[in-house]
Amino acid sequence: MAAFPSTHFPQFFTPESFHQNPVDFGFYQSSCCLENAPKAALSNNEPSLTCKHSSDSSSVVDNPGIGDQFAHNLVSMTKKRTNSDGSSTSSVQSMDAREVKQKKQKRSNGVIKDDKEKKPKISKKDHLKKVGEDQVPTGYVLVRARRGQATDSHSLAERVRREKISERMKMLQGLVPGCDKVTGKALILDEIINYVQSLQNQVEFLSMKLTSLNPMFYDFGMDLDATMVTPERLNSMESPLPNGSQCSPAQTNSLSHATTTFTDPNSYSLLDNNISYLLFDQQVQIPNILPQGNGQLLWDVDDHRQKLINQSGISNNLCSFH
Amino acid sequence: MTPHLSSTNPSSIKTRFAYKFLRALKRLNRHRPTSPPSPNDIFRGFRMIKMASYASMASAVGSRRGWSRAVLRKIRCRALEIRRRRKCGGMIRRRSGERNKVDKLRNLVPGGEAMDLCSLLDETAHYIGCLTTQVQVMRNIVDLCST
Repeated sequence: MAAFPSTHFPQFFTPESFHQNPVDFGFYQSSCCLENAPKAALSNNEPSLTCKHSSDSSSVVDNPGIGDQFAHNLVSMTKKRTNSDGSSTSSVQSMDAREVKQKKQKRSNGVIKDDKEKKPKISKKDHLKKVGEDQVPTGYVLVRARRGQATDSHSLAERVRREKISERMKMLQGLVPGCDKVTGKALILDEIINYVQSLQNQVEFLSMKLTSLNPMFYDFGMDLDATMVTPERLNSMESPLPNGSQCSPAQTNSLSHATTTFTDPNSYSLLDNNISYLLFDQQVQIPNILPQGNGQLLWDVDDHRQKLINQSGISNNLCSFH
Repeated sequence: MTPHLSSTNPSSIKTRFAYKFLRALKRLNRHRPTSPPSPNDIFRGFRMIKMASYASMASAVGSRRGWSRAVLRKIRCRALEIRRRRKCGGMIRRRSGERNKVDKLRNLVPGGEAMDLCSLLDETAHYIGCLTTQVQVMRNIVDLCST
């Protein structure tokens, strides 16, 4: 909860949110000082901590005595590390269990953290440090996160996770049509949900259509709106089915015949169109004629030109079957 | 990440789905009674075709993806899955706002109940691509049969 504003900023990638960021940060800075103030009254150790924080925040404002503040920071750090048991027990009333756990983790990693913190501060001049703190807010977050290092690693992990999520959101935005103009995670999610639902409904509708079509798989003369039938109407439509099946009395398995009638004109039309393609088609068709032909057929159907040729081929072939 | 949907590749998901789906349709049609079916039969046939389309898409994708694994598992042991979901039903927490939407999405994407948000979005992207392909192929079949 303490590192919330810092982790909150990579969630948005819009430029205006980056502009907002310093504002967030200032608020955060003041709030953490406020937050620490009541704790200071509770334990002996906490005052040093708040002192450190106030000095850090004041170092942004005015420079003098920063070297002393460094020393003070380090001292407070070590002091805190040595008897942080006492502090954690004394301030347990004000802190929840999570914070205590973070503190324990901090104790294990405290030394590494110290080194990391010390180096830039010593190498930089006062003015440079001020500028660095101003332009790199993460450095300030690290200072703040010293209270519980686990917060920092958690927030790092959280940041990575958020970046991943927003990246995927962007990808989904590209996939879902009409989702580019929408801003905001919730609205994007809404759009995605709607799109998935509509696709599933389409699948349902198409399978319903196929159910109604399947019995009369060869009645190619059937008009389109007749296929959109309720079950009752379908029942009444079942009667022309035997008439339809008369057109090919030689075949026993209706569907296999239908697919073969599909594949034949397909390859014929391909013969007209593209010879190399035909070679490829036949090479595949020799080992297993029916399935591969079907697959080829279906993606041939994709472009309209091909589809029209196919349909004419089918009708021609049907005429030849009669 | 996104499925390979190129139309010229014979091993693309689209081709594999079309092949599997047509084979399933053929198998379903073989069992169809010659007498005029009752509305109940038609409804069952509709459900079978719908399931066949999802199953053939899932098997075309393979077990690389969470959602296809979930679909295949659901089809393999449907009764078991229903029972398990009923048992899990009480554990689902009610949340508000954005979480609610994520939960909605979780219910839409097969197998999404057990995913974290990151992989859920990933699977959703793949699932959308596959559903688009599925709709395209099925529409082609319907167009071809109805014209």
